[in-house]
Amino acid sequence: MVEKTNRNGGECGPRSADGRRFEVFLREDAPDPMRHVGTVAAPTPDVAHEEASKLFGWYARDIWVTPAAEVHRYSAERLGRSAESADPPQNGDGTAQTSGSTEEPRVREETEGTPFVRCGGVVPEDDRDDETDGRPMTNHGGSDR
Amino acid sequence: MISVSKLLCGLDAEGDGLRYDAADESSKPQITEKRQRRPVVVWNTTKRCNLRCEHCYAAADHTGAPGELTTAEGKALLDDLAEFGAPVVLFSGGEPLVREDLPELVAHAADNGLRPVLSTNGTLLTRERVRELQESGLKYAGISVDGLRARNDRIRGQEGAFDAAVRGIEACLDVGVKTGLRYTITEHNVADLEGVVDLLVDVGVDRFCFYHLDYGGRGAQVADADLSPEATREAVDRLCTLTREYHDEGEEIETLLVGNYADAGYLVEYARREFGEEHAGRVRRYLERNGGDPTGERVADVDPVGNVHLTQFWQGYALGNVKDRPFGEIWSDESNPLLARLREREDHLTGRCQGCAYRDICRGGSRLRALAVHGDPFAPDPKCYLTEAERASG
Repeated sequence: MVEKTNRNGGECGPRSADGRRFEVFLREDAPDPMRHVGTVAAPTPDVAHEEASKLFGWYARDIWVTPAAEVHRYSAERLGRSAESADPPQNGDGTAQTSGSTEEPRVREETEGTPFVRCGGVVPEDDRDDETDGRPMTNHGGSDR
Repeated sequence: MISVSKLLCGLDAEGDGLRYDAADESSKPQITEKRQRRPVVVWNTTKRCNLRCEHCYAAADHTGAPGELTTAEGKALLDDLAEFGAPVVLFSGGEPLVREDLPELVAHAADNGLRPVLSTNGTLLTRERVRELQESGLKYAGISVDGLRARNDRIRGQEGAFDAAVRGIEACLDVGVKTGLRYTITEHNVADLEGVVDLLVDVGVDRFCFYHLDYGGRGAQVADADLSPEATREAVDRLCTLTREYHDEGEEIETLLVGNYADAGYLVEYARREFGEEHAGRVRRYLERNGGDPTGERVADVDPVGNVHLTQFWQGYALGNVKDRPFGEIWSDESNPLLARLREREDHLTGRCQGCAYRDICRGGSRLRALAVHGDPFAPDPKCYLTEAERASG
């Protein structure tokens, strides 16, 4: 393990004060990666593309849009609280939750050059096989597997 | 923001350092000693408003938006703004006074070295609330009145709004919080311009900000009520005359124009015509230091859910969200090609702006109006009212 980053996750909800918004991604030239350039307010993906084209048409080869409210965000910091300092969410009896919560800190592990992060507290059935192919899985309770 | 009273009548003001790098020339206490390097940040604290104005850029309504920043998130935003060096935070809305935590947020801003100011419709201001905000550190309240009683109430969608706003102004003046008028000029209210100034001078107001209509939010829906370029020119001319008349009578009111940087070129032309070449040259030098249209540079906006916009009027596009990245990182990230190009837009303006002699002090005017009308953020501002001869003269 060469790196650990605690992430707060599950930030998936309203990102608009004025109707639907779309996250906008651009690619300048064919070999370039997509780049996030913000959001536009629009009722549909086609209108979002149209609005983004007015702003970035002079620059972009490709424009992708995705509904902002449907993006699940897992970040090392959240406004008003860093993951490092965040208190873990509490169960009804005052004990810390260890799984199944969107507030759960995530741990990123990197081995053999292949970092990845899982979201969600319970290991999906489909993912359990990953443990057998030599790649480590994200920790779900704050301790290393 | 262009000060007519400074450029034509030489009035000192608290904003001289901020706007013209002219703190040394002013006898008034200054907001900043040096011209701003960081943006004034408008924070739309909520979408909720007790009124429903026809031209509201925030499209505010009687209900708030889901996901509005909480008190803790708001304080963290203010910490970010202070760390980034924003000189001023303008608490706006919707109507910011519907937020019960407003005094707490104002106090947090003041404690962190930000200058907290307020943009409000004034109708919820009582002496008690003004006193509480003053004790929290509030420095200024801009109160929107868009005409005399009948026109204002029609525009604001509520009978009694005018009287309530004037009571709010009086509350500020009684308690000792500096207050000024905010007035968005359209065909619906241009006739009341002088009447409102006269009435509010009698009440005790000495600062008047006149906004040109920008085409964001419900402002886009009433774009057909915007003044024609000729009518805009006439209204600006009337404001110049009004300012000079008050100053000639010893009443040193401060008058400002916002939202159409054709005003910069026009004021140089006006000064040349009325006072001669030397005065015109002085006006031009102040405006060179002012820097032209501030979009994406000297003004920024954070909306109720944390989206960062290029100006408060341009709500349709956001650079990012402060829930994801600190404000300063979003604002400084010139890997965003639109942001980078806007900051060097003199090189990219098209059409009649290309050869305009006032391009350096105007910088194309409203990029939002250009986008709304031409579908191109680098096209000419459709509300530029300078003549061809003026654009050629400089």
